[in-house]
Amino acid sequence: MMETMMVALVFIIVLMVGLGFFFKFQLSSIEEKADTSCLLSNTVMLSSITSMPEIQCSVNANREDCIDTSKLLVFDASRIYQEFFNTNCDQKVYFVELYPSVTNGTCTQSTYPDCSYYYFLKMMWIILQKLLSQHLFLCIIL
Amino acid sequence: MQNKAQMSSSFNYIFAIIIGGIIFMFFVGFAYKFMGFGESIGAAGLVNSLNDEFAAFSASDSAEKTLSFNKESSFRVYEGKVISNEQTKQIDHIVYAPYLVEGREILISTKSLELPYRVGNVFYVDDGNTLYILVYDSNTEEVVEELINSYNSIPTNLPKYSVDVNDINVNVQDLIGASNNYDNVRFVFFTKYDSVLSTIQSNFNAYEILYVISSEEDYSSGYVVYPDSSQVTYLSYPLLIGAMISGDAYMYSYNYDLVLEKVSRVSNVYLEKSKLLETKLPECEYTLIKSALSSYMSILGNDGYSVYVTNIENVEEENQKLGGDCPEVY
Repeated sequence: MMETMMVALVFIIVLMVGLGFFFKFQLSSIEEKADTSCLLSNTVMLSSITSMPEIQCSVNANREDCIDTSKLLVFDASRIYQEFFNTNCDQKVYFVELYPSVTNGTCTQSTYPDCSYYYFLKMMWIILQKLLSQHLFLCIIL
Repeated sequence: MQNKAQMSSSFNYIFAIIIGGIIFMFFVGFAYKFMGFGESIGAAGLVNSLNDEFAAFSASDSAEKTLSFNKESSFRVYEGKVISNEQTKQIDHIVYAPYLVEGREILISTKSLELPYRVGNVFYVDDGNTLYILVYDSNTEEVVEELINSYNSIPTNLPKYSVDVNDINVNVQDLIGASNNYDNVRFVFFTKYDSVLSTIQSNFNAYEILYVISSEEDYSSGYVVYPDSSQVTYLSYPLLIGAMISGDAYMYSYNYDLVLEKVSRVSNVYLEKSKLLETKLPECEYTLIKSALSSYMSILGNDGYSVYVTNIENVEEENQKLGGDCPEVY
């Protein structure tokens, strides 16, 4: 009786340890997949964000390959724009005017156009925000 | 004494069976859960890949692509969510799709939506199992031609066919032949269909009839009537194509509301931009475009299409008056 119980106990312990290792590896594999997915989503977003009608230039309704900085001022830097993001990553997008270089910091209606930093969009995904932190730094030469 | 030993031996067997049963059930449960988990991961992968395709496509005015999967996939696009195997993901894009999309190959396409300025892209997802038959008369032949062959046309990867209403009764065998390889047929009438209804009923098993009504010469906006008699408004060809593809009036209307939300969001950007330009360029007249944009924003949500047409024309007109030292708003 005692031997049977001991065998069962050892078996259960070995099983638990095995499952523990299995789940640990499984979790790290999922985290890696999530990380790759974030990176891919960020790249896709980076390539598509400049074509958003909310920021893209247009002349007489014809699209131009540039950013309309006057549109960027409409966005509130302190607000989280969840509706623009559909990825599970913590993202932040801002534009920096590189040329001509202007040293006055953040752009507002009063400092525009003599400014260089346009804080545009922000999204936080609460659960994974510490685990998967991706920041986008988008430099546009205007 | 012997009796006690026999009892102990029996107890050992019972104990082993109970423990063995518990362990067996544990493994079966684990395997079952793990299979479900694997399916969820696969569904999440499908949903994510679709989402990334939409985002990448949004940079284009018009694009098409066929997504191939190594196994049969099925999903729904419903209320702004892609749903596959109980795995749901919210998407911010305007996606028109039939009630259920299934197959190894999924057709996705996009069109830029301009009302009158670009407000974003609309996306179409289809499995190629439905043939869209556009039916015209002498007054709407050009409209259907535009929808079939022009830049504004229905995506080329969607199965479509056009036919004169007068030819349906005469050459119904041609239509049957064209629809042979498809599970469903959806007739889109740009003319009255009473005279051909009996021919359709007697020759097609799985069919639906959509009826397009418009007082605009080019049918650029109007109404679409679904088989359940629900009537929806469309404001441009991309939305008309969306109505053709959508599973039902509700699925179309959900996306239509998203379109209006986008129009509101982009219009607000242009309104704020016109205010900024007015402040920075006091010598320029931005009052009229501001008022046109405000008026346009105020009518969003109206049911009829003519009020939109009027306001869109007004915004276009006021924007065209600008230029030179006074930059256009869009």
